[in-house]
Amino acid sequence: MAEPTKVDLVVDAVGLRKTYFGARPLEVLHGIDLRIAAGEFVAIIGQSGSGKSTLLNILGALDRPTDGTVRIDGVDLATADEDRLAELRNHSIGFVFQFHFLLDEFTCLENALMPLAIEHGVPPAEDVERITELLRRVGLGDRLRNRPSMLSGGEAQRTAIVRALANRPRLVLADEPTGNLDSKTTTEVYALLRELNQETGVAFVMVTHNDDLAAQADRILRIEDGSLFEGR
Amino acid sequence: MRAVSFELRLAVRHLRAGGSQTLLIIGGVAMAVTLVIFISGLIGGVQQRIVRDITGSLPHITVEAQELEPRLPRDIDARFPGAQVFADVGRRTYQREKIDQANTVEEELRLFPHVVAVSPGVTGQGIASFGNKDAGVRVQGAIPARYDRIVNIAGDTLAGDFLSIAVGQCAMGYRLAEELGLELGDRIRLTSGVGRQEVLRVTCLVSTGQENVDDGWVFVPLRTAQSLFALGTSVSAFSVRLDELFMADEVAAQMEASLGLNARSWVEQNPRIVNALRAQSSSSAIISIFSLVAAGFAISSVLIVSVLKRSREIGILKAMGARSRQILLVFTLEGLGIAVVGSALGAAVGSGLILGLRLITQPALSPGQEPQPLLPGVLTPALIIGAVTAALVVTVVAAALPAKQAAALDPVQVMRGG
Ligand SMILES: Nc1ncnc2c1ncn2[C@@H]1O[C@H](COP(=O)(O)OP(=O)(O)O)[C@@H](O)[C@H]1O
Ligand SMILES: [Mg+2]
Repeated sequence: MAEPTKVDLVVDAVGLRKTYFGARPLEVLHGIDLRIAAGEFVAIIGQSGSGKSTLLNILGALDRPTDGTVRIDGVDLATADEDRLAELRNHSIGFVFQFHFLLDEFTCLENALMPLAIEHGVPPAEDVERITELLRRVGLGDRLRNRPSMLSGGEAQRTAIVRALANRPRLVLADEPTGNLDSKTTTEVYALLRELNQETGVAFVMVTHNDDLAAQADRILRIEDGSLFEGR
Repeated sequence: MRAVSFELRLAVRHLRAGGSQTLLIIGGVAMAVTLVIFISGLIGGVQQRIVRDITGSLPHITVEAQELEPRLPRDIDARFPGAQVFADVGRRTYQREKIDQANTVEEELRLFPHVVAVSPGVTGQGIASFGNKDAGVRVQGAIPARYDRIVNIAGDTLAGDFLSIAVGQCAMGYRLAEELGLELGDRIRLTSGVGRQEVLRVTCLVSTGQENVDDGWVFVPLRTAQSLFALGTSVSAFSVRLDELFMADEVAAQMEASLGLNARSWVEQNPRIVNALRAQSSSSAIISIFSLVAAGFAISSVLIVSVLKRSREIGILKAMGARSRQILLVFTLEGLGIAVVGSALGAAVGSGLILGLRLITQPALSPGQEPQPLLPGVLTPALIIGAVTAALVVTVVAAALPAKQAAALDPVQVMRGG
């Protein structure tokens, strides 16, 4: 028997493979081992098409691996049913994408509360208060009632980040979160991610093409030819 | 249990965001429901008028005593060995015209499907005399209020009051009164086919537009008819009204089979007209079905476009933990929202149209009658509820495909590449 791990693992992947069965099968990930502890800030780099998004989608329980075992917050993705995966995404995982994907017909505050609305129907009052406070902290205090169309790119992305944290997840997956922003806003948004990471103890995995940002992470992982390497 | 408030809110926001497109599609559903109510109501009304015109004072079903099989002398022989039988025809014709346990039979008749009113009655031939004039008449004896529920004579009253006719009084067709030269309040002598007589005061004149009624019909209270025809407390026939005209044949057959009485439906007596009316009903049903199906297609196509437009949104919702069935519910609710508002609107417009057109009238055909509506549509709760329910069902079916598509979307696919 293996001795009990002292580290609290949010991601524990062993021999993770992913093959896309298109016109001809394409193995994108050739057996990846990856462990991420609670509170870590990990940057993932790699060429376009190397499989970064594929890996993130699997870690986010949006897609299943072709082979290997993946545990997210202790849940084995291979054996969990659709409902369990949905619950995992709702409770344990937060997503930030290159595009903010806010819902047009909802206000900034309503968007940030969306994971709670999905779970409870109506978000509990104390959560509304907490999220309102968080939005204020990230500088959106006077934007709470605005629709996404009224927000700047940076404001929308900050709303999306708050939304990713709304349900107090263990892991936030950010796929090129600054890919669509100018450099000044990029610096702001990155600083925010880092700050929230240190404050909340949530693990962050961020895919980025920006070497300066990657350099500031706790760990850098590089995907190359379907394998994962530590460091750049 | 978790409330559906999230799904409902999303559906409402989608519909509101749809703006003029939402309004158009609601208009489409409203139009379909309007059409269903209008066409069915109008054809129903026209049919009622036609049926009324052809059946006149004829009830939907008339139930009489079963005609007896003539008994042969040898049957009697077998039951009374040794008896000398020469003939057994004495009470034949008399017996077949009476039903003895009138109350029991009436109770049983009420239990048949679609029956809304039953009226016990006595009918027979008679001669009405006034001064030195005589006229052959058809005598109808019944309880006025109950008979009125079968054929609504009170609505055709020209003078006097039908519902208050009491013993010693009678009603008659206005042309018959003219022929006899009498006026309201005069007394006639009525002689029945079995030779009994009554002197009756004419307290009501009717003008139905039916020749057989207006020219030669005398109505007397049931008691009076029972004594005129020497029936004691028996009756000769029951008149039955149904809520479904075209079921008359079927219901009559059931009555005959289980009561052992002879039941004639108005359908048997007017087969060709009934066929024409049936064809009319089917065409109105076909028009209704097509308009509802068209509305269904419209809802489907709008929702399919909406799902396509919102595939990213659906993707992000799933990424945030929304279940497939929650997404399914959102789009089903959208369809339902369209249907509820659209069919409510359609019910209002359709009803308004029917009621409005009833105000346009044509002059009455016979004196004393109300002017008739040119388009005599009828509006029943059943029609409105039926049309609205059909629209709701169609919507749920129409929303099913797009909603399933939405629920089945793979978030990884739809969010790839922004
Ligand atoms: N659903 C799919 N079917 C087939 N091939 C895919 C699919 N998704 C991604 N790929 C391919 O897998 C490879 C990795 O894609 P991706 O993970 O998006 O790379 P990255 O995010 O690093 O740019 C690419 O070659 C891409 O074309
Ligand atoms: Mg990518």
